[in-house]
This record gives sequence, C-alpha cells and structure tokens, in this order.
Amino acid sequence: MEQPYREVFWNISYSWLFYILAAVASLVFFYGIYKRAAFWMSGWSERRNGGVDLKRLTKKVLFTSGIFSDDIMGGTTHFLIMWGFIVLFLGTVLSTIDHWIFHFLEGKVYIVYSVSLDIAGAALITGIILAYVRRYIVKRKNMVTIVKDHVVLLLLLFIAITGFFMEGLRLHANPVPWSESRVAYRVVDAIFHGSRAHLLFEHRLWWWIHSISSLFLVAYLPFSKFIHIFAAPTNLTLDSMNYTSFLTLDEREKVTTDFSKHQLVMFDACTRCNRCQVVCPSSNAREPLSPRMMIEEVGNYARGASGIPFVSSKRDADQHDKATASLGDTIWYCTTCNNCYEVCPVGINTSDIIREVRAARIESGGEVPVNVQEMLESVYKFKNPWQGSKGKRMDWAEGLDVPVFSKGADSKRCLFVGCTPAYDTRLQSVARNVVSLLEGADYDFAVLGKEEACCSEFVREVGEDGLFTELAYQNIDLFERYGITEIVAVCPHGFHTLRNEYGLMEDSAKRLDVVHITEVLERLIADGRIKPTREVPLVATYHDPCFLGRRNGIYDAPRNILRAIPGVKLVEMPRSREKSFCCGGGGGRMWVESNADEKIAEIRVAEAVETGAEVVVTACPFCFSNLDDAVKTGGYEDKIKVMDVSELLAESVLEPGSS
Amino acid sequence: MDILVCIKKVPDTADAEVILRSDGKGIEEEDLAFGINEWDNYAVEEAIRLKEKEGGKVAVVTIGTGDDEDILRRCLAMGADDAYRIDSSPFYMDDPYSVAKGLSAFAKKHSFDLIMTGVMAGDMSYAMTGPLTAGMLGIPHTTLVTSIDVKDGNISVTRELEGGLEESVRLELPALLTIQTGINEPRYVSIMGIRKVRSKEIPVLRAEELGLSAEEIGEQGAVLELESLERPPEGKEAEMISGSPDEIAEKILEIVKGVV
Ligand code: SF4
Ligand code: SF4
Repeated sequence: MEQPYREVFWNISYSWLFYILAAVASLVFFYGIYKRAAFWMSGWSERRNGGVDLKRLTKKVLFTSGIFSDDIMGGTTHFLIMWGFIVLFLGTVLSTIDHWIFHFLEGKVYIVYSVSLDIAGAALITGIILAYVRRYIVKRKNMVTIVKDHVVLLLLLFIAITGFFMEGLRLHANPVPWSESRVAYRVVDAIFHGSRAHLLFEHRLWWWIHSISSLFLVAYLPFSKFIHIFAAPTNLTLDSMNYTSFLTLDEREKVTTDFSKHQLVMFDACTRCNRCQVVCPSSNAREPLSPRMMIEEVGNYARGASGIPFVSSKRDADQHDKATASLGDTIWYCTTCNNCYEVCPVGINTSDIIREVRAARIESGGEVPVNVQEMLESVYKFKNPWQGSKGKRMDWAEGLDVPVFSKGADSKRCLFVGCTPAYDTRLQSVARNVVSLLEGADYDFAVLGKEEACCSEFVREVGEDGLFTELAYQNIDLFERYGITEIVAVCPHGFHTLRNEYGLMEDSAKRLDVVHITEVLERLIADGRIKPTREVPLVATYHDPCFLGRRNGIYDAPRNILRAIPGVKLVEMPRSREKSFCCGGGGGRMWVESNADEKIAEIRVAEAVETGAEVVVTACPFCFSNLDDAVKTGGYEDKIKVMDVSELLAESVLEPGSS
Repeated sequence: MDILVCIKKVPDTADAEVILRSDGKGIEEEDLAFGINEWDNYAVEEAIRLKEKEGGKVAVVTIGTGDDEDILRRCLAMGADDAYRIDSSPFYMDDPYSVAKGLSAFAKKHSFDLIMTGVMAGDMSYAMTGPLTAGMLGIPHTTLVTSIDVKDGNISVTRELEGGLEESVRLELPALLTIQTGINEPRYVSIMGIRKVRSKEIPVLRAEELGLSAEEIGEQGAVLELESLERPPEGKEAEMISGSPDEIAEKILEIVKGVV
C-alpha cells in the first residue's frame, strides 16, 4: 500500500506565482516587523533587576493564564484561536521543510500531522465562533469591539474554512486509501458536487483563495492587532525580568525620547481587552481616567513619528504636546494602584506609562494641579508633603523615650517613621503604638528624628524624579552615616520606595534589608515577644494597601496579626489580596481632587460595610486617612470605623493609655 | 522689555515654631526651611510671563551670601535670563534703606524698563524696599499690583485696596512695581529644570563695584536700626483649648453658644 503523504503542489500549476506572492508577503512582513522593532528600540534602556522568570513566562505566555483568570470563556476563546493558529502555522512551516529540505511527512508521521492540522483548524473555527458568541450573544460586559477586530477575526475564520474546503476537495478529486480529514471530506461532500474535472477546478480555485488570504494575513500581521503575537510575549519577557523605568538625573538629561524600550513594547502589546478598565478604581468612580484609553492614546502619540505604515500618524504625534496636552487632567487621576497591571494578560504597567507622561508634563512646565505643586514644593522645602516644619517632626514622640541616631543611639536598625505618621495628628498614634509595641518586645531600633527626609514615593509617582532623587540621597546618606543596615518602615509607601527604588540609584541602598512593620510585629508575636492577651471582640475586615499587597506581595503578615488578637473575627471583602480595591490615595492622588459623585474610598468603605465588619483595618496611613474621610463623607459613621493594624494590636497588648 | 526682579531668601515661618535668638535681634534658624520670598516668586513669574508676551529679558538680583544662590538658580530655571548676586557682607540687612541703596546702585548700572519686587518680604514685612529703590532711582512706582498690562511704552496696572476695591493706575516706563500674591499662579520648577541651568554663571558683585562704601550701607550708615525682636504679649482674650479634637470641638461649641 502506498504510504500516506501529501504532494505539496498537487493539482497546482504556476507554483512559481505562489513563490513570488509568498516572497512579497514575507518582505512586507519583515519590513513591518523591522519597523516595529526599530520603534521599540528607539526608547531608552531601563534597569533590569532580574533574569527571565521562565515559570511565570510559561504560565502567562503558553497557557495565557492572564486571560483565563476571571474569564474562562474568554480564556478558552483565545486559547483555541492561539493554539489553532500556532499549529496551523507550524504545519505550513513543516510542509515547506518537507518539500524543500528533507522529506519526512509520510506514513504515520503524516497521519499525525494531518490530524493535528485538522484539529487545529477546528479549534480555530470554534474559537472564532466563541469570540462572536462572547461579543454578541453572551454580551460580556465592558468589551470594546472596533472594525479592525472584525477584520482580524473574519480573516482568520475565512482562512480556516477555505483550508478545509481545499483539503476536502483534494480528497474528493483524488481519493486516498488511508483515512484523512474526515470532517473536511464531509463538509465538501455537502457543498461541492460535480465531475472530477469540476472538483479539480474547485480545488485549484480554493487553493489559491486560501493561499492568497493566508499570505495577506502574513503581510498584514505587523500592521494590525496581530502584532501582539510578538509584542505580548516580548513584553511579558521584559516584565518577568523586572525592569524598572528609572533614570538617574544624568541619564535623564541625556535621553531624547519620551519612553523606555519596555514602555514602547507595552503600547504595541495592548489588545484593548479592557480588563484594566474594569478594575481601575478611578474608572469605577466614574472619573475620566481609563487605563485602556491611556495606553491607546499615549501609544498613538509615541508611534506617531515611528513611520510604521498604517499604524503611525504624524497627526497623533503633533496633537499631543509631549504626550501630555490632549490628555488633560486625566493623567493625575491614576492612584498607581497597579490593579490594571495585575489583571493585564500581557503585562502592561499602565501606571508606569502614566508616571512617564506626568514627568513630561512637569518637565515641560505644563498644567500641574495646584495641590500637587504645593506638595512638591513642600517636599522640596520641608522634606515632607504636609508643610510641617522640621522642628515638629518629632512631635509625635512627645513623652516617649525614643532612641534617635543623631543623639548617639547605638543601633543598626532604623525605624523609618514616615511623614504622615509623624505630622498627621490623627495618625501620630500609629507611630506611638508601634514604638510602644517594639519597646515592649525589647526590639532594638532607633529613629532618624528630625533628620528623616520624605521617602518621596508620591514625588516619584507624580513624575518629579529629580526631587525624588534628591530626597532619596538625603536618606541614603543618613543610612550610610549611621551604619544602618536594616530598615523597618511604618508606612507602606516608604517601605516600597526604600525597598525597591532607592537601590536603583545607589548600591549601598541595594544592600539595605527593608521590611514593613507588620512583618516585624507578626514575627514578634510568633516568637512570643509580643503577647496579645486582652480580648478585643470585633468583626474586622482587612483592606490591603496597594503598596504593601500588590506591589510587594505582603498579604499575610497583617492578617496573621489580626488572627493573633483574641476576640477579633476576620472577614474578607470580595476584593481582597491581589484584587484589593485601592483606597484612592496612592501615587499622589492624595493631592488631586475629583468631581466624581462617589469617591473611590467611599466605594471601598461601602464594600467593607457589606461584609458586616465593625471595623476596617489597614496598615497604611494614606489608606487610613482616605477611608476614615470616606466613612464620614459617605455617612457610614454608625456602621464602621477605621483602624490601623498596630492600633488594634496595641489594644490587645498595651495597658490602656500607655502610649 | 527688559525687566529686573529683586528677590530675597526668607525662612518659612508659617507652621514653624519661631524661637528668638538670645541676643533678641534675630531668630534661631536651625530648624527652619528657607526659600524664595513668596511675593517675590509671584513677581518673577509675572516678569517671565511679560517677557514671553512682550519679548526682552528678565534679570533677577538678590543681596545675599553664596547660600542664597539657590533661589537665583530656581529663577533661571523658571525662565529668567540672567541672575546676579550682590555680596551681602558689607550690608546692614535689617535696614531696607541699606538694601534699597544696593539695589538702586545695581539697577543704575544696567538699563531696565521695569523693576519688580514683592510687596514685602515674609521675614520683616517692611514693604519698604521697593518704594525706596524707586525713590533712589527717581522713577515712578506703585505697590500691591494685581495685574499688569503693557501698552505702547506705558503700563496700566491694577492695585489691590482695602475692602475688595481695586485701583487702576497708569505709569510711564521705566517704573517699579511691587507685586501682590495671587497675581498669577507661579509655575512649578523641577529639580531637572534647576539642574539644566546649573552651569550658568551667576556674577557676584561687591559693594565697591557698585560705588557704595561700607559706611553708607553698613550698620553705621543705617537709617533704621533693629533694636530687638519680641513676642507680642499673650492677649487676655486668647485661651488655648487643649484636648482631643472631639473635646476641643465640644469646648468651642460651648463658647460659641455662650456668645450667641
Ligand atoms: S492594557 Fe492590558 S488589560 Fe488593558 S486593554 Fe490593554 S491588554 Fe487589556
Ligand atoms: S494604576 Fe490603578 S488607578 Fe492607575 S490606571 Fe491602573 S488601575 Fe487605574
């Protein structure tokens, strides 16, 4: 019996024409890819903080875990289309190798090959049908569909169907003794009739239609949404290497482009899936910020001058003055909560882009909200955002015996108090409680006292890297001067900045061991050095601060503290841990007013009230003030109150009135 | 139009606890933050806006020490073209006459169409340096300016008066204006912006170069002498309410109820 195989140009004359068309399509394809790559490479280089994380990458790229999470149907749809497409594409590559380099597609191998392609074709078609079901029958909320999306989907569908026609017609006109492509065979049976000569003609016709549309797809790919096939894995790879867009002031002075390489890849990786907007606290509060639109608009601006045909438009580049003008106020609404980044299947870090745009706005002397400006000026002048004079930085410690480095305290460990616990009269008790708890546990530490400078997290997030760098160096110099090797930060913003960002500019800061106070308290409880003995009968829910949770993965330490307090019953909000909904105070948002009817924090407090909790506990001074305000403005005062973890712990540990 | 803005570095005392020096002639500076005098900042911004509209150049000058150059650099970053520092060591800085002598001598050496300065400085609040400088230069001046309009060689300005009144005044150039806060919204100056002008030279002038002798501008030539700084006696009516915010609120409520 004849070995199963398929002749590549069976029934096809003018195969040279196919090669010419294929060559043209490839040229166009490679030109497009070259233009995209050149665009990506035109950005400045970022700092890499790690190697490729293969496990994460496999999960995110091959298994597209980001698309599946919270959306099984969407995940399935994409998975079918993606793998259908990949297998069919590989099939074509293998057949080319088989034809030109060495012949191996015969016998059992060929059967496996053929069946795989059939399955892939069916998967692709099913996927596309699901895509339409999702869009028009199930009507998944918040999906955005534009004309170009149809082009992509229908083209794929057409190629898959014509592929089956072609196969079926071949088998009809030229029956083979082995079993192959049953589905295609049946489909063709139902549609095409006639003499063998007619079937041969139909085969030729559909062969050409299929080939030309496939080649068109290849050529069209770099100029369409399909570019995400390359941009998304590239972006996820860069992302897994933990790049941080930070430039030293010298570098920043030299760069001539607005964005980093990684950021430019992000623009091309976005597939407009809208997941980001669904979770964005600002969008949820009906403020004018949409992370998806932000990526699209800023991306259009960035691509504007790149000369990618059909993609870039000079007009886009001109319309925006340094990516800032036409975006207006919207750039200030981002709380840099990174919820969008958490859910983005392709790893786009919108807040990183927004920070870059804000920086361009600040450096070009554009509109900066007055409050933000005052905050920056305050940090410049007073080293804290609250216009507090240096002399009052230690007011919180009045009556307490707190060791201070400049007064000769002998410790390698610095309790970094932070500006808000130091100056905000509502939050000074947090600093006091923390100190009392630590001292009660015989935990060795000292504070920088009046010398402490603002961590400047929000200074960096609003785009003032120059000021951020200056303040960071003031602190780094202090750490060096006092031989500090370990930092315990009271505020998650200081914690994040000292832990992840100071090291970007100074090696000595990289070696600092930075922990958050909740981690320390958790450990001290576990070691029995802090004993929560007094019953605190309360139903509590814990609000994850973005800079502690999503940014640094600390979810359990504060919860374990709460669990250790007798009497406290911990209940969770629907959006907790990685999915935590921001209080609305990060990234400089403390200084940006919005006209929205409902404040972000009010949405969050309502969620907390829903759980039946009597108290919403947090571990961040910004969250505290925001939620506390929202309890008042939202009229929840008789339902819930806000507490800091340390406050609740202190109630269980300390003698009343001792701090 | 060439504009000169006279500026000064002052301590920010709004929220700070001000501690008198033991000699009673000054305050302890250690815990204080210093920066450009608020009124002067508005004047610089206004000058730069005028320049952007009318063309010309903006120069800034201060009488100060090397430590004061940061405010000059900040002005350069805002958009001023030149910055000068007059070395303050021979000056008796507590006397506005002495300061005005320095400024007017400097202004005479250049030709400016317009001189601006803040209405007053946040530290001593004399509000005299501007008018005195104008007097010494023999040019017209007006104070408390809240808007400026330039029309063929003249300027029309509005001045802020008591009781929400405004006065319009026309002056012939060259003239001197003292600028009131709120005339504009001064732009934010980023650290990067300041870095970009870091290599720009700031000429330092000595009093003799301006034709001023130490006797004229030093303590012996002072018209006005600072005798001592004192805290105002605590008013009898003032009562410090202490306690938690809630307690304070309650006490205030009681007091208000008692009055009404
Ligand atoms: S940024 Fe990410 S989550 Fe948002 S639309 Fe683009 S791909 Fe989707
Ligand atoms: S970081 Fe948060 S606030 Fe900013 S765009 Fe993303 S989801 Fe919205």
